[in-house]
Amino acid sequence: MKKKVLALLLTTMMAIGTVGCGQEATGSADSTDASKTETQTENASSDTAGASETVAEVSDYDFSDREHVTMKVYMFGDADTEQAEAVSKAVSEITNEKLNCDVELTRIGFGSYTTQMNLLLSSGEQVDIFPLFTLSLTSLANAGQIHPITDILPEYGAQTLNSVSDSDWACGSVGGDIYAFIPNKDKAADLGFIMRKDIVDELGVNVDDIKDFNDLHDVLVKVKEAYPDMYPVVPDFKDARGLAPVDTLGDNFGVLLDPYNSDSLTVENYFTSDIFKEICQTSYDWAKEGLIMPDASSNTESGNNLMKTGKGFGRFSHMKVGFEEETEAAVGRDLVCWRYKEPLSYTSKLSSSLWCVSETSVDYDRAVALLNLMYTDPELSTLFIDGIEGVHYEYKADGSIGYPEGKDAATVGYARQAWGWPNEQITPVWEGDSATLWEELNAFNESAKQSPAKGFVFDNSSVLNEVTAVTNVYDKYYQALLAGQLDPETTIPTFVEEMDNAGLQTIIAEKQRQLDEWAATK
Amino acid sequence: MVEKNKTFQVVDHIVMILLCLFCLVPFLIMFSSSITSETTLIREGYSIFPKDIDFAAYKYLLTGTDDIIRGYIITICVTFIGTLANLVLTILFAYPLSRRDLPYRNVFAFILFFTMLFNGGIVPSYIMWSRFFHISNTYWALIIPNLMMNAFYVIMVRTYFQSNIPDAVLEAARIDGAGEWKILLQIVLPMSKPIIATVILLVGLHYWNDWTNGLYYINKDKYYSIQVLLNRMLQDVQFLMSSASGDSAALAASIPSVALKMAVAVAGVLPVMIIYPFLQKYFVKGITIGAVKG
Amino acid sequence: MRSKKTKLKRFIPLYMMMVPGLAYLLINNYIPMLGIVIAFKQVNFRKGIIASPWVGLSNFKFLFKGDAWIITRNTLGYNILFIFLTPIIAITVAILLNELRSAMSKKFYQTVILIPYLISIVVTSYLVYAFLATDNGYFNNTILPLFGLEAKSWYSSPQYWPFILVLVHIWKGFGYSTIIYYATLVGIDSGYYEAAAIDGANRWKRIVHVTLPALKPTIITLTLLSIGRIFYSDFGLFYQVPMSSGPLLDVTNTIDTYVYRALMQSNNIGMSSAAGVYQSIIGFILVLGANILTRKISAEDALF
Repeated sequence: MKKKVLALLLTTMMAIGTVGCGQEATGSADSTDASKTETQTENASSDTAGASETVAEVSDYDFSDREHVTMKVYMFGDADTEQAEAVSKAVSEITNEKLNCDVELTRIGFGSYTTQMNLLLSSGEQVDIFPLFTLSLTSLANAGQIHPITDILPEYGAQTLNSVSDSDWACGSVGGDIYAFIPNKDKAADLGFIMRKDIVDELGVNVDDIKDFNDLHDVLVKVKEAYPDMYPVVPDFKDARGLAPVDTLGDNFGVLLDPYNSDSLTVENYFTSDIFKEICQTSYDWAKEGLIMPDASSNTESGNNLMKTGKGFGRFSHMKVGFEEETEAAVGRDLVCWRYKEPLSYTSKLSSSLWCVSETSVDYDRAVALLNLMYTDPELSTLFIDGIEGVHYEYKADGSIGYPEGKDAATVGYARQAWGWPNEQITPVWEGDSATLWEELNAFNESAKQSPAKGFVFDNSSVLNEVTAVTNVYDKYYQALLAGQLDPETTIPTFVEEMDNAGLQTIIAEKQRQLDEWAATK
Repeated sequence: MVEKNKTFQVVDHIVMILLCLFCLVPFLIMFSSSITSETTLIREGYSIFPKDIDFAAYKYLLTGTDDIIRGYIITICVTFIGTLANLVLTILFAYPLSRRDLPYRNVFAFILFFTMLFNGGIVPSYIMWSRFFHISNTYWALIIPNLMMNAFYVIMVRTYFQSNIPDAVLEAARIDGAGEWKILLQIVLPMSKPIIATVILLVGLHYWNDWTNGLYYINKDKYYSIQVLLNRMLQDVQFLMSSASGDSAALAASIPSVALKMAVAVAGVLPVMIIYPFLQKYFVKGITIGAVKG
Repeated sequence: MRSKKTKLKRFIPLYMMMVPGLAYLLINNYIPMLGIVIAFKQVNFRKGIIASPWVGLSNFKFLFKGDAWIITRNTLGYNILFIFLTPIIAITVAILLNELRSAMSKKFYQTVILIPYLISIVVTSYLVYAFLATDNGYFNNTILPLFGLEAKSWYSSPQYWPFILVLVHIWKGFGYSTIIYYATLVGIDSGYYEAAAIDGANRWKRIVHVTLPALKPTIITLTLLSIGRIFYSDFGLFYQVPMSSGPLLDVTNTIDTYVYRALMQSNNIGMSSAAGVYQSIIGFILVLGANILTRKISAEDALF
């Protein structure tokens, strides 16, 4: 008897469970259909692609014959609910006219963005467009969470399609299909050291005279003598040396060692390279001389804050046009840069600001059209990026825009992350930036050296086991080596050995295979 | 004997005072950093006694934003409603489980216990609550998922019932013709005040401290409780620390200062420190009434 | 059969009491638990979870690569330490509290030892940092110089961390456990103590013969529960408190932090789900074993 009841109970549970699970599955699989049916109940003629195609030939994306919908736009960076709603309302006025839709903008703080977006995208809830930020293009595409837009772009994103180069589009492609909308922003980075101008001037150093790391070392030693309380080199959070001067091909596990000068597409192990060894050795020597902040790899402060409070003299960073001005605004002191590597354009430089169309979008065509509008319409782009004039920004005397009187980044209630949006370059320049910033940025992008592997997106799904193990080893040594906390002489060999045991060579081989394949189709 | 007892009391007090210091010193550091300026903190470091006093963070909390006041109201309401709901569910489940004569009670105990070990991960839970119950961005999101019943407390209460309520008392009540509900409400509960006070306290703390539901289900600031608010700030920093060299400089501009983070943390702890001694009264009262034994 | 039915009928009100709880468990725990299948699938959201292809155990593989031994050792090692230390300390403190005569100070001490439990683990990590930061930390700046000792770089010295982590864990949790034991303690009938006193038992004897046996069910329950969680670790304690510092990984990397690091980028829900299943199953087996053992020794106190 006891057993029977137990069995009965279990079967009931299973039965209910299966129903629940069935719903769950339909939820995630057919959510788009579900939401489409919703719209269909109100207007049976919606979702007829054929009809809209003919209309599209007459005028650029006319959606007036489709169901009026609300597009859900997600973006990282905090905003007060009321402020985001106000922006949504203003944006909707434009989109109602042009795309026959309302827009609902949700801002998510960047610390929670990854968690919340993953949940939203896995749950089957409606999401229309969102920037990748920390999410991985290949895993979203492989898991069917984002929608390929290759076929939609020519019709609904024509202007963007034409103004973005093919090699840039390739950066948002997986397996031959375009999955992401390429933003207009700094597409390259140069590497350098940013430092306090007042100290440089006081010590009579001419930054143009710094030619190599030895020269920099001499400057740092002088700083240390003049200001014993100050650390000549401070990290930015845990990162003491900035990006590696190589093309990391996405994850540092297998890199192109010399993307600047060579067209070679040989994937190599960065950690056994002389470049890596040299960087670690300099750091280690400098750390022993007290030139680098001790225990930099567990630091909790931003580099800018350390410089602002006078604890740091300078830091390594990747840069772009206008980097000095942007950083000066954060540090509140005059700064000057020494650049040691020319700008390089490579795939992962673009990846954080790629915009994707979610598989659960109510209307893929309109999602692409909305992205296209964000890319081409200055009014719309400004609304999204800077908010509402008079509330979130105002025009200054020189034609630039800035926070309204009495407001600042903390109190304005709408976080400005211009580089994260599809096109910052059609909005007014920000206060303090050069008036010709956008032209300079274009020139910077054009002048940049293109990595031979630009456009190659590594899909690590077949070697995930190795990647997970290698990542843990990497975390153990990498930042600490760069911060000069570990002796490279003895540590690098252990590091390399552990990496190999964890499967680094398998990753490199797989990367090489994919890269060759990619090069063949190019 | 009396002499010996006195020495014991003194030693006991000394040990407890040392333990209290052990607990308090970090809290003092937290408080002192909340009234120290950013520059001093970074340049001169943390200390128990602030090196300079700057109430800017508290000024900002009280006047610069209405988030904190709203957060308090939300936290208090959520804690109150949630604790009550949890208490009801817990007692109703624990009492039958404590009854040794209940057929299949081990099956139910197992069903309960099993939830402590296995879970389907956050994604299925999220789908359940968010898509089928639509609780995203509502106050319910802070109350219902995961927190409303906790196998741990049910087992705790069950254990208490089992060992502190003699079968004879229940039997006597039954002979007097009392139904199960009446036995629970009029005999068992009055005998269980200490455990009820404890559960209220512990569940209340869970609700008070919880930020995970906020992280998963809420992205509109008007639903932020104090802890969700604090956690948002902290997470942004954690994120910048873990993602080496993205565009962290551009993001770091919106990071609140250490003082502000600490001030919010103090704001989260302080009310409990004030309320707790009052709860204690019932805690202690419950003891004397609860000790009816057969 | 009939008598059984009438017997069951008597219990209907009791079963009714459990209905709300069962409904909640069903919705909150059991239905989502079906998500466990994710661990055995390569999920494609376009197809839906159910239609996604089965991949057997391949999602589990990453748990046994590379540092598998270290993370398992750390997870188990710390948890075993915690399982022993927490009750010992909490019971001692609970008894000390209980023996105090002044109600005022009882109240005060209880409030104070609970404070650490209220501080979020991330804030705790800042407080630890405040103590241990290399150049502006309280230890290196104030305490070590007092003893004429050199400043240490704590965040790159793994040898101290097992001790630091245990200390932080105890600091944060002992107040909470103390309250649980204390609640049981105060429920002990004073008659037992009086009887013991009449028998001439001293304080120590009373503790051994009255207090501890009364605490036994609580001790057993709590221990069984922590055995079930033995493959889980407090993510905040092992990731945030050591500031995720690389050189410390050998003594701070646990299953949870390993999985977090591993999947931060790819966010593969199949693999994260596999990790959860692995942790649960081991805990489940251990707790089943422990429960059988408990039944043999003291059937009363078994969990189920």
